[in-house]
Amino acid sequence: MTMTWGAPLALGILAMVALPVLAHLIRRRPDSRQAFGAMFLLERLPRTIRRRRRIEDKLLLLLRALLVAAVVVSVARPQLQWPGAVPEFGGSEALVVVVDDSMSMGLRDADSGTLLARARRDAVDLVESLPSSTRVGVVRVGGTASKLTDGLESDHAAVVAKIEAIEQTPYATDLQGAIRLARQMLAGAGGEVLVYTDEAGQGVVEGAEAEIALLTEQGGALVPRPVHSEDPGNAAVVSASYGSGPEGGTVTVTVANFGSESMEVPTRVVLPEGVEITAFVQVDAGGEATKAFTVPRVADGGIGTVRIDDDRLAADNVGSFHLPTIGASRVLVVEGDPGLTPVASETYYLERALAPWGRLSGMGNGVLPDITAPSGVAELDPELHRVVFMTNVADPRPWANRLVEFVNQGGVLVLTMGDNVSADRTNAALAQLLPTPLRRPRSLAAAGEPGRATAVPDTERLLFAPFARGGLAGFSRIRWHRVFTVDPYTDTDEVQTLMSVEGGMPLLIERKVGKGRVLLLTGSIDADWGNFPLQSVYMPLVQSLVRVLGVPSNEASLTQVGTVGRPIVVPVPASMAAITVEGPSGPVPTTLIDGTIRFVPNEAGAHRVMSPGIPPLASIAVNMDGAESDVRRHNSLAKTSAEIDPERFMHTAPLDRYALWLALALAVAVVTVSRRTEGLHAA
Amino acid sequence: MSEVPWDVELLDRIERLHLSARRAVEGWRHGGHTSRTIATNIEFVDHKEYAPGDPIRHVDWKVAARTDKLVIRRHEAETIVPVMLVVDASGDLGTGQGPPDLERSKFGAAITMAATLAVFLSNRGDPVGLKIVAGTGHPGGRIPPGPRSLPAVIRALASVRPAGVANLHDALARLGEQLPRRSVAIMVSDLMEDPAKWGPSLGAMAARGVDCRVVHVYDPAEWGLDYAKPVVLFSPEDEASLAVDPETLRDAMNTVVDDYVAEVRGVLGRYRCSHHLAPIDRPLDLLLASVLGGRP
Repeated sequence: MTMTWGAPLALGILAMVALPVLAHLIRRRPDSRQAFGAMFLLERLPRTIRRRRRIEDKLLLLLRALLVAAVVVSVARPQLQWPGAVPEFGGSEALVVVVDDSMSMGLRDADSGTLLARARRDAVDLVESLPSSTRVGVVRVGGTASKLTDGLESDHAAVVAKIEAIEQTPYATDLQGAIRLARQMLAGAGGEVLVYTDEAGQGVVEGAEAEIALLTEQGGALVPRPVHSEDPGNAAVVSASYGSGPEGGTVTVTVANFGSESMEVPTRVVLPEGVEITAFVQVDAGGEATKAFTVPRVADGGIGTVRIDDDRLAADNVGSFHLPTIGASRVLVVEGDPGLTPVASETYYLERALAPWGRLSGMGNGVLPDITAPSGVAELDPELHRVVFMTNVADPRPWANRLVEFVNQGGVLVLTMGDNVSADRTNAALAQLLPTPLRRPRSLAAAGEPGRATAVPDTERLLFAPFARGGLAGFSRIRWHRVFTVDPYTDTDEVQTLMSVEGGMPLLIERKVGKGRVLLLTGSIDADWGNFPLQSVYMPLVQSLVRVLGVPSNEASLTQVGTVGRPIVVPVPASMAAITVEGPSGPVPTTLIDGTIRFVPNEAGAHRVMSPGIPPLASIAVNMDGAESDVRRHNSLAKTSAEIDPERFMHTAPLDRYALWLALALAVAVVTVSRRTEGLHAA
Repeated sequence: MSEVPWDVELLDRIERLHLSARRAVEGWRHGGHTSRTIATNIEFVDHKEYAPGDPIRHVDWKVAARTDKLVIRRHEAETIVPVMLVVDASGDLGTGQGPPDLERSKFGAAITMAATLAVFLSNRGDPVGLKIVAGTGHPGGRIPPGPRSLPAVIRALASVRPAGVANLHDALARLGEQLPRRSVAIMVSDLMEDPAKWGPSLGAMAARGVDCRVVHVYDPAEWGLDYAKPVVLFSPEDEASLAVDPETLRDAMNTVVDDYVAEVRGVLGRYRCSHHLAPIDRPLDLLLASVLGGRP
């Protein structure tokens, strides 16, 4: 805080304070004379002491001196200055209006609509009041800042139209970029940049410091025009994710309260199939609260949404999350070789891998196996069963059509080999389904030898992703004595080798057929041709097989997450045409470049990359930028600018009027005390 | 002009006091003051009861044998010592709040003291002279000590009024040349002149054997700047004036006075002269006892 003087020369008159002192001293010149016979001694006093005077009526003198001082100070026009003021527009000839249209500017104020509406109105009023000689440019802030005018324009009507056309965006605040564009518009020729912003969000103002400094260095001046809500507050969905938990798992939702009072936020979790789960989340002021929503035992996979009710700022009331298919995947296991004992059964190990704690436990674990003889294929229900295991079935021909139809409708058929399997019959029956025709069984090792090991699979594949955290080495311990050879083939988008024996012989081959898929295991699913069921990876691999393959046919195979305002890139087959992206509110503009489709989501929620006639290519759970939901002001643009250009950001309080009032009060006091003193003297 | 009164009652009181010599005992009771020489003829006066401190050799053993009491034989030296009174009548003496029976000033106190001394000494048979320094209204010159000079002394004292500047140095220098050896000079003055100037003149007198005694008259109210409010002080001698605020100067004035008195005493002590401070509000008998005794 500093003191400045409007007329500092007037302070020279402060010497007049000496007048009352002199007056009091002069008044003390004695009236009486007295003959004195010791003048000889008096003259021995030092001269300075000899002339010493005593000041009487000190209170009166003090009041008079203060009176003179107060009058002089009022004439000198003192001003108190301290930093933090918002400077007025200086009326320069070049002006850039920066309007913040980021998501937080959509905050609704009590009466005046959104902050953006107020900012637009203020900016328009300013531009309309400018002299015609002033050239004006406009820059918007949201997302990636952009110029709305090519440069500085003299046509104020056109500039006003540009400002009025600024729409609310759901994007983040690019204040730094906006000031950079404004600075470039001024081209180092001086001028002013008026910034209409709510200054909301962590680090937004700090991020613009360098640009403000550059602007100042180039002779420009930043004039903040803060647009604040009287009581900023906002509730937002910060995050939503699915995880393990009771029943079918839990959706964990985090809601933040960026207001000054705690609030109870109505929160709804909407599962992909439309089921709604509602709860009230109590969130403290300025804090976050996490709520777990229990998912039913059975639920379709897809993108779920979270919605809260908050009228202040609606854009961040939605969040989205990926939800896997929850609940029993009905698996039909066709027993091709029951054997003489249960252990000798082809499906002994498979059944236990699918439902380790018994058949009923499969309800909770999401896999419910139905064991049947080959004749049971007639009971295959595509609405009920997601996966069919054909284990060591000698002749599938009677049910070939049934299986083809099942796969085309989105079902998954897993074929496992064994001694009963005949290449001819199988090739003949399932030619439309097999990834490649079978040839014949082939021994890989003699009896008593350990067998050939399995190559470690690629954990990038969804099927093997669970093993990325551990257990991958277990694949090397799967040894094969015999496998079925197949006709040579090449991996394509349609046919891919998922597992192989060391040396390259295919072990697990996938083929996409219609809406479904076929997996061919060239070994046996029991312990006849190898030790696969005896290894630790057996059960998790079977479970993963069912979970991954058993997803509904309308679900996309590729899932991503994204943020509003940030580009999303999705790889798509080059051959596909008419690829579109569907957002919560309809089609989203896209760009197709080099086998990828790119788009920028402008709202939270499920986005799907679609192509006619096939399941979605990808589903993207899009959420808001959490930082933009924070509508509180963490730093002041004025304060930051003041540190760079302190002179322009000073509060000024004129004190002359107070000095004058003080002088009047002192004058009254002087008169009062003077009269009383004279009365005492007279007495 | 009224006759100058003197305090007879006071004279009675001081008559019992002894004008004792400071350095010589020969003149004890002979003329009432110290003899400068050893007396050639000693005459018995009376007896006195012995008191501790009296010389044993003066005990009258015959009387003691008869009366069983120790008595001292007292003698009187046959030495005549002239006494010259020097009275300062300069203008500065006319100020102060002296005794109300004369002029209510330092000068009134000074001439009362001088007249009392003159009558006392004259009654004792000592020739008394008078020299008035400065002043106005008197015949001027000096009255030499003589057995019948008292009326002239009294008349001169009664007629003089304070005026002018004393110029003690010149006055004492001239007087010193005229005083006989083995005489006594008693100066009554306010000593408002530089001791460094008049001191040597006094020293010259003392060097000639004159017993110098200085009665320093002053008004405590003046030295203490005892005024209620600021006042313009002026000197009656040269009309020099100074506006002073007593309250602010009092402490400094006390220091100056102390230094000044110390300086005077130093000068007088250097020339073996006694110094007798005589505030005008002090009872005169005490002062005269001090002066006649030769002890401050």
